[in-house]
Amino acid sequence: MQAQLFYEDVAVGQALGPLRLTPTRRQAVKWAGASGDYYEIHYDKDFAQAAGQPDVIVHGALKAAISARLLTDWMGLEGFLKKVSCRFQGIDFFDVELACSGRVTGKYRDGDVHCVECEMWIDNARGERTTVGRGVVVLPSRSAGASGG
Amino acid sequence: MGEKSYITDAIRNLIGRELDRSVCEIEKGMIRRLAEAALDDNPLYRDCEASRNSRYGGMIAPPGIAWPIIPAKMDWMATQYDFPLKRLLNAGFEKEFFAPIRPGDVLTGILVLADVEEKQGRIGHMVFFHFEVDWSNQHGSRVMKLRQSFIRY
Repeated sequence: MQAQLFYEDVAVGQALGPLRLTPTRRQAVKWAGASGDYYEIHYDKDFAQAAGQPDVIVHGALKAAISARLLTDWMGLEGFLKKVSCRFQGIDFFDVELACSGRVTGKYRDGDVHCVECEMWIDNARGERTTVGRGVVVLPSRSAGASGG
Repeated sequence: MGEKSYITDAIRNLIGRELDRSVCEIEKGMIRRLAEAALDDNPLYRDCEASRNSRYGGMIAPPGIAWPIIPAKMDWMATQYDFPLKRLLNAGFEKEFFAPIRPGDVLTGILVLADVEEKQGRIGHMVFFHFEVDWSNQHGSRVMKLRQSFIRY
C-alpha cells in the first residue's frame, strides 16, 4: 500500500490512474450474485440480442465500482468517499479492456473537513468513452494534526 | 407536437411517494463478495490489521453496498414493470455517503420515485424514471443516499 495521501499533497489538474481492467463473463455472474442485479441482458446472449444488443453487456454498476475504486485506491485508508456519480453514455462488452482515468478538478475546506473533487471516465479498447463520473473525497490534512480529522 | 405520452396518471401518482422500504443487516460475506466481484483488494473491505489500524477502526463496506440492499420494488419497476416501452438502460446514478457502513449495521432504506420525464433521443422515445433511496442505520443516523435513473425506450 502506498503512503497516505494528504490534502496538501493534492493539486488541481493532477491525474489519477489509469486503472486497467478487462471484465469477463465470469465476473458478470459474480457481480450479478454480489449486487443482486440479475437482469438477463448481462449474462443471457439470446435475451441481449432480443433487446437489440449484439452480445451481453457489462453491468453499469460494475463500471461504476471500477471508477469508484480509482478514488478509493488513491485516497488511501484514511480517506472517506463522500460522493460518487456515474453517467452511462455507452455500452461495454466483456473481454474488452477498460481504462479508467481521472483528474482532480477542485479542492475546498468545509470547516475542518478537507474535500477534493475529481472527475473520472472510462475509455474502452474500441476508443469509446462509455462512462463518465464525478466524486468527492475527504482527505486528512497535515495541518489538522496527527489524527487527520 | 402530437407526440404520444407514456406517462400515465397512474405513474404520475407514484411520484414523491414511498414505494418500498427494506431493512437489511450488512454481513461480512456480502462485503467480501462485492469486493471480489469488482476485483477490489482494498484492505478496508476485509477484517484485517490494516482496516483495524485505519481511521475506521475495522472493516467497512464498499460504495457498491447500495446494490444488494436496494428495496426490491426498484429492480421490479426497472425490469419487470409492465410498461409499453420494453427496453431498459441504466442511465446513471449518484451516491452520497454520510457515515461509514460496517458489518452488523442494520440499514433501513426508503425508496421514492422522485420524478419521471420523457425525451427524444438517438434511440427514439425515452422515458426516464428517477428513483431515490435514503438509508439510515440502527442508531437513526443517515448513512447513504442513492439517486438512480433508468431509461425505458
